[in-house]
Amino acid sequence: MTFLGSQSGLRQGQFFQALFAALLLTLLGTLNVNIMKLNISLSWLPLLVIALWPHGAPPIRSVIAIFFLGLAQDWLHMGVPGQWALSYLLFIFLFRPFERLRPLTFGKGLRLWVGAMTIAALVLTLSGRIIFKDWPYWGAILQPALLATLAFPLFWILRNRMQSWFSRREEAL
Amino acid sequence: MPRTSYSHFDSHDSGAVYWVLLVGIIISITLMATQGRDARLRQAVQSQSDAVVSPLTALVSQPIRATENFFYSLADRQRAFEENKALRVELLELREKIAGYAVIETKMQQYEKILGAKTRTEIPLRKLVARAVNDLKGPFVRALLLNVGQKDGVEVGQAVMAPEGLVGHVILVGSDSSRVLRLDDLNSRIPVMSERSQAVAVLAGDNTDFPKLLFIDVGMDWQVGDLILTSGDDGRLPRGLVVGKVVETSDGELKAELSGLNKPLDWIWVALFSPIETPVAVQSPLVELDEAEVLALERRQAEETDTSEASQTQPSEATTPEGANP
Repeated sequence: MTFLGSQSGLRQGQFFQALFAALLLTLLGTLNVNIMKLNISLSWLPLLVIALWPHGAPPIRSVIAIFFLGLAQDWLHMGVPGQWALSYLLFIFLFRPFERLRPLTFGKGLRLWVGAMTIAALVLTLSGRIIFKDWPYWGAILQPALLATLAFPLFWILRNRMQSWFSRREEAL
Repeated sequence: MPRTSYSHFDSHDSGAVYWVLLVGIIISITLMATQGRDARLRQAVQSQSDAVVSPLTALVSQPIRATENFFYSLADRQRAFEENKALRVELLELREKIAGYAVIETKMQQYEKILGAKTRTEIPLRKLVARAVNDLKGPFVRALLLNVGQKDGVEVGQAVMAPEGLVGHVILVGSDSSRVLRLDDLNSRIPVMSERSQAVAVLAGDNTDFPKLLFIDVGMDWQVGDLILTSGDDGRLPRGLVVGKVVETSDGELKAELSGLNKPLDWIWVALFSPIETPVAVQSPLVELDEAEVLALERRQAEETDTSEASQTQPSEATTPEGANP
């Protein structure tokens, strides 16, 4: 009974950690930095959280939260509502993080990230092409994707540290 | 194995989870199909979310803007010495020009007096200073978020300027924030003219840093280096705002180098200019008359016609010679 209670707490904890991280990065992603005529966009950082969404988090609640995170991303970036939400949900649908049985290794995590980027790039490009009747500005897709890829190792370390810290805390309780 | 490695996903959950996923995907596609471009719901939600995000972004963006300005000022200092020399020369030239303009202005006023013409200045005199708290450069959208809104007198369509030139125009107004469509956005289209030749064209954003100049007729005189100004032909933007300079691409296409967007945007201003209103058709007075009134009017008109005919025939009778009757 105690174990089940602690397990449920752990699941909730993982869910709220991921949600908080995604919200924070969504807000941070709205900021563009212009330095030396170079525009640095952080808009793809929230996708890191979605790609590495904890498999222990409650699935239905996670799917609903991810949908609204996608919509928030669309609204904050003045995009067409549904573009990011669709990218996130398609990733979850195709890669099924809730069915994962083992913890992620760095290599597997990186593969998931590449998968998430590919889906997002395809959805943004094709839906934009249909709605705006034009191809996107490729720099605005490639540059934030590259920046988020560079941030991946740092995010990976932070994620693992946080998870093991919360796990130890739960076990101590 | 750490506890986090356990999968909590039961096979009997899968049906419900994938149903929720499927519903989410369908809603996303529906939203995309119905809320593309200028949908009302989208704009309403957008202005609400802007109102929430604007103060937060303003706070977070302060160190970022400071960093941007620091780097810009570093680059600026390197150019300062050379620019200083050039500016001194330019200042002397401008002083001469100003003296010339004063003479022209006096002449213009005299001509206006003689002709009785009433002109108004097109450059808006009222300016509202604002902060660009967010500068978005997405794959399809280039927009700004300002920390001023309806409460400050901002309206849709007003021009937004940086000290160097036009930045864009307001497309969405919330109570305390507003969205600006940048000139380089894919949806931006503004009528412009060449300051040198008065040739007109449409400046069309294409999500690159150099928007296109469209609809340039064969006879139009556009040259590389021409100063581009707003022509005001759409009645929405005032005439004469500086936009940028004409540049030519390697394949011979004429594009615009935007003056207002060549450095990080922080403090800008909204030109409080009221666009020319669309004329409203005046209702015909007959429409408001009921049937009886229309009949009475027709009867009166018929009587008037009879009377006038009678008055026309009377003089002819009077002029008939008496001897003409058999």
